[in-house]
Amino acid sequence: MIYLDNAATSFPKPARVSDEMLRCMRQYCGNPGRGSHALAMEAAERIYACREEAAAFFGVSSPENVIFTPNTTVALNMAVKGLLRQGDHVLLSDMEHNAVYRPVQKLKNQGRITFDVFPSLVTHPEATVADLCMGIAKCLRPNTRMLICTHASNICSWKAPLRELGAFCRRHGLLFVVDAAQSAGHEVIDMKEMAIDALCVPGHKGLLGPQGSGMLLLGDGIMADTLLEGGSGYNSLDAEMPLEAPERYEAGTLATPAIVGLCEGIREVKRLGVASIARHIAGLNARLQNHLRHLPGVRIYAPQHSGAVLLFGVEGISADGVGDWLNRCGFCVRAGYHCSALGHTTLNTPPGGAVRVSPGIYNTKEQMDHFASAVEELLKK
Amino acid sequence: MKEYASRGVCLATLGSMTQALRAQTALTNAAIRAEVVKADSARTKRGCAYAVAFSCSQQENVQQILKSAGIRVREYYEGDSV
Repeated sequence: MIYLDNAATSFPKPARVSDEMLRCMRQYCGNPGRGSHALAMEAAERIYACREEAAAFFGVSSPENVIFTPNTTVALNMAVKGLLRQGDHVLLSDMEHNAVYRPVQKLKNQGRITFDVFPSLVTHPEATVADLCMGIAKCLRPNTRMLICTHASNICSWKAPLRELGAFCRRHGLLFVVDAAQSAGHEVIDMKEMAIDALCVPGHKGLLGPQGSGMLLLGDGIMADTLLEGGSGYNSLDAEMPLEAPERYEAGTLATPAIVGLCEGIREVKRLGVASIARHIAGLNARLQNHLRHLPGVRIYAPQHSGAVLLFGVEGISADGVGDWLNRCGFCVRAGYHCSALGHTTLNTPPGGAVRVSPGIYNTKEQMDHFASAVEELLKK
Repeated sequence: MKEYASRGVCLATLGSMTQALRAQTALTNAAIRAEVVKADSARTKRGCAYAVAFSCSQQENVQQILKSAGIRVREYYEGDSV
């Protein structure tokens, strides 16, 4: 089986990730921040080490601004629902995942906010960053308070220019929330340099950690309302959540084994080098694209972008049909709409969506060649 | 605080575990031995809290280091053991 669905979750994981998770569960999995016995303390120290690791990795000023979540979706919900106020207006790109689109839509349905979708210009090869910013500026209103943008699309290789968007947000006094579900571990992200106020990150994709791990990283001075309330391990006599991050946002017991696994994943990414990982995956993607574009009846969406994700369709065969064939040939890919109503509408994919191929660090050029051969075989049937 | 110096162990109550670990890191980086402990629940008005324990002989340095690291200490007091 050749795994090419790393945009959903990376697989396999480095041995150091599973080794540490197992060590945690066997040797030190007390409840971090609850009590002070030896195992609780060791678990807390490991969790804190992961906060430090993540803060350094993403340019976060302090470890307490690293908040652990079960996944990116929870982090995005925390940022959107915790930072927006009654009457705010929000801007989001036309390539957002439902993890952004649905929380925003819900707040709109509740009459709490309004929002507009700005054009990413993903299908305009000639578009510049200035064009993008001009399009966003046209959507601004006096009550616009937040801009939410995916860093890297989950359905094609389009990437948002975070540095420029961050500067745009600063100029216009907007909170800048970034969905880094596809870019964390594949792209260099520095919250301070990019003026990001809230960065939402999965642990189980490019950072090579386990499922059940994710993070919300907050910029300096950002305080959100809480999404959940409950035990925080301190101020136990107070009826309200504490004001200090990260405990303010982490009600209930943390997933210690997942977090220490994530920590090892980040260390592995650092060891390999983000730039090196990006180069490897983009190279695989380019190789596959080079094969597929010569096949009659194969359409590649937004082919001008080079990156980690390739989206394609085969004329006359449904996306699910192509996915099933590839599965029978031993390839794991994802067909359909990929939880991205906005993105598929923007790319104008047909009913049934398209097929996504997302190689990872452990894939090889030869696997890309085999994959192209399998598609070619399908076309002959 | 100075009255505690001759008696051994002092504690700085931070509140959360994360703040206590951050304080410990700041002190360790300054070559001051510090240990995270649970603060005496009888002393805390708001319930459970964590503290760092350190030698009272270092109390002035500790105060300075934690202040310059932006770590807010709720209370300094003398403890029984490290």
